[in-house]
Amino acid sequence: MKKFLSLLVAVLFIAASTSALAAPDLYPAGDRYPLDTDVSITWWVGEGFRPAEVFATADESPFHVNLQQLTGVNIDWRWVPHEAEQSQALNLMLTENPLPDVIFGGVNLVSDAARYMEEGVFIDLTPYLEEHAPAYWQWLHSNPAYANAFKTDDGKFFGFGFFREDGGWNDSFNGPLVRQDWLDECGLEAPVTISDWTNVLTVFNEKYGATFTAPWPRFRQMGSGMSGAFGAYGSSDLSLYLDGDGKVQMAQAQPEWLNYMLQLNEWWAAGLIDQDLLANQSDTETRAKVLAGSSGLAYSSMGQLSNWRADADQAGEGANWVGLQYPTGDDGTLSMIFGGYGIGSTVCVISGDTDEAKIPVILQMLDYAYTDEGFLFWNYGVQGESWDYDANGEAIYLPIVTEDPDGLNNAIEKYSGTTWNGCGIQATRLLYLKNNPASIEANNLWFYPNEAVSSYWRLPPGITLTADESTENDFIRSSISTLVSETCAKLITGEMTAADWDEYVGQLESLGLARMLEINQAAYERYLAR
Amino acid sequence: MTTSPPRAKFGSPYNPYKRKSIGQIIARDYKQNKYKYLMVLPVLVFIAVFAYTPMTGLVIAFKEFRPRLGIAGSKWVGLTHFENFFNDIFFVRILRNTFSISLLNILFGFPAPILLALLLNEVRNNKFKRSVQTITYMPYFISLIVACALIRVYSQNNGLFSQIAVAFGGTRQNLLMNKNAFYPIYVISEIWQQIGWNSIIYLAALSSIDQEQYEAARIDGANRFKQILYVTLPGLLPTIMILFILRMGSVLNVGFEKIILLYSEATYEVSDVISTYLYRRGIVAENPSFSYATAIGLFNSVVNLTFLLVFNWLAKKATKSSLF
Repeated sequence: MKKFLSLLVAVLFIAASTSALAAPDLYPAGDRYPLDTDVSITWWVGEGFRPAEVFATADESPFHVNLQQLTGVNIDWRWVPHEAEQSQALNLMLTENPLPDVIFGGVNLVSDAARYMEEGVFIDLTPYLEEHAPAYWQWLHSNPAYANAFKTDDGKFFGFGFFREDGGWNDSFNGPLVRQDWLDECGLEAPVTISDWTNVLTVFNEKYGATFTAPWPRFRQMGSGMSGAFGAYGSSDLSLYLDGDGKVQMAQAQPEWLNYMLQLNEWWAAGLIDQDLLANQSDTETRAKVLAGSSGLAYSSMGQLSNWRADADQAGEGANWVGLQYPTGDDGTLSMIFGGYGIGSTVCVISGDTDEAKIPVILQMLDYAYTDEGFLFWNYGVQGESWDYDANGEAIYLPIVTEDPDGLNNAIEKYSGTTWNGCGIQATRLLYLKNNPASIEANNLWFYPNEAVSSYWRLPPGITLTADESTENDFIRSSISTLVSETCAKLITGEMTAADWDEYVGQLESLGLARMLEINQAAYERYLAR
Repeated sequence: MTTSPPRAKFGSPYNPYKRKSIGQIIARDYKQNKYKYLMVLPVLVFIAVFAYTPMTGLVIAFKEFRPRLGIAGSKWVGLTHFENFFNDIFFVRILRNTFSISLLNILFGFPAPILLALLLNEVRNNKFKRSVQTITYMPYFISLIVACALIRVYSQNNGLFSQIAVAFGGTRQNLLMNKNAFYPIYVISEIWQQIGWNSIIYLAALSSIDQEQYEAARIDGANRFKQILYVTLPGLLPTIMILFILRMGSVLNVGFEKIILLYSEATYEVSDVISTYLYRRGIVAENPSFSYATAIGLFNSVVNLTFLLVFNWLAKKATKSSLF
């Protein structure tokens, strides 16, 4: 079985990686650009492709200057400072009169799209899209999930989304990590099942006094942790999922979740889990622990793995952190890890205060990112300036990027608009160029073995609630999520046991769990009917 | 026969028989003190613009505020937000926690700087006195973020506090994940940060007590303890009362920054207060409800005002010193 699994993994991996590296089939830009226009627009940018932090103005940022030159549109950039709180900044901007012409952001722009359209914050793009944004139109219709994510229940398209070329690889950027040097020293194999995990944790604890650790904000996120191995769909943050019959359910009301919690409690009681776990509020705290050698099996992100490895190199004590596949159940059940549809939660819209005459120009400008040429520009910059093809015909960054004194990640951000969130399609290749091999390897291990089970259960992005539903849902959800995260903490530390389960489920019911599921079920069905 | 009305001893003619309207009084006063009025004007404008105008925004507590529609354009919803808040299952808990933390803070945190000031006042060695003063008010200048980071590190499973506990035969634990330790950590660290700074005002009040009173007390045979009891404390009382009334007026204002920096799911049961709840619900939530947050804020202010008025009234009855 094991052999078969690893073979399957290998096949899946090869299939996935080859398909991931082929450039997507995009609409040709032809000679449409630069546009022949003298229109000037204002573009408000929330989280996402803001000018890199080192630049004081957009005029210094190569990406932002180049975009104007390539599309021929004069853009007056406005962006939210890097340290600002997104939802506050967005709401403040919404009170402006008139609104900026183009608005890009996350928060609730997508989930509340219908209401924003009604209020005139953004316009309905349906009448214009096919004519003025053919490339985006083609992309949207290359996958039903794409089109559905950016239209309302009554079928109106409202904006330009952010997509990941591979459809999910980098959506699973968190996962388990292990110290390979300790595994080798103890003569252990990389743990696969939960029982293997218990074994490795026990050995590491006896030999090195080490425990399992994680930054709590990552560990608590939706569907993460090792919950999948138990057939559970969530960790500490309230998470809704679709069961086999297409019904919306809450992970933390299922017995599988209790089993997961009981296993964590068992490890906790045996001292195998970092006793500060819930108080590890940041990556920094975990990083310090890892550097101090107090953990050999942990849970964190691709980015953190790079940091940990850099720390270890500097310390020179031979710590070798590598990625580890998500654990499976003892019967081989694969983890339903958090992954996704490869659709971002941000959107770029045209505001209701925009001059009617500007709309076609803006649409064509935004459409650029979804053309073959624009795709390359949004990911790598201008060919010959920041990137070029290597001998194999694949894109690589030029020394101006790779040797930038600000470091590779910051340098890529200067030339690319899709490093983590933008208004276009993120190339998987960009992620390969951006991350070090160990992190890429880790992400491969997190994603490919579980790919088949990683996204079908997720509520697709773009489901929208009506105004009344949204108010009621928020109210129920906020109470329930507090109860859930507290119960999670209590179950892990043993303050609550399996005996308290029924009482907890009763509390969930009295808080309106059934109503919350009903609301979301209705929204999901409306989504399906789009 | 005409009798001239009695005149005030100093200043302008004053007619007690004829009541003047407030406008007339101000007009007359203005003529005499033109420039002083001009000097006050900027302050009045400041208060009107930055304190009273924003208050009109409170009306969104009764509306479903949408940023695009603005305060005037948003829909009226009456008392819905208040009903929701009072029906919230966490209402009792967050109210209880808010009062607990605030009252514990007052109970231990309020007398601490008074004690420190009294003790410092008795110290005769000036060099020592000054160094103690400086050392105690230094923590006040540490940023809250840094102070909380220190607390978090010391409270870890293998942190300073655990090691001290182990040395005395206790067990290791992460104190911030222990519900019972949350209040002591909060209150003690609060005292540590504030004691020196808050004692400054008392030290200033102490220096204004007439030295002759001490002399008289000594002649009457009072020892130092009796001097504190019968001269120093009564001299300090008005200051203490005013600060106490002001403190009671913010009984529901528990600083949420510190709690957010220190709490976790493991301690929500004792640490989740109105302001942290409001922050999670109204500010950082994906669909922030400004109206709901405003309603809670308004409730907060009403309770605070009530406390202020009640304690002001009590203080007036008991000690004759009050705010107004």
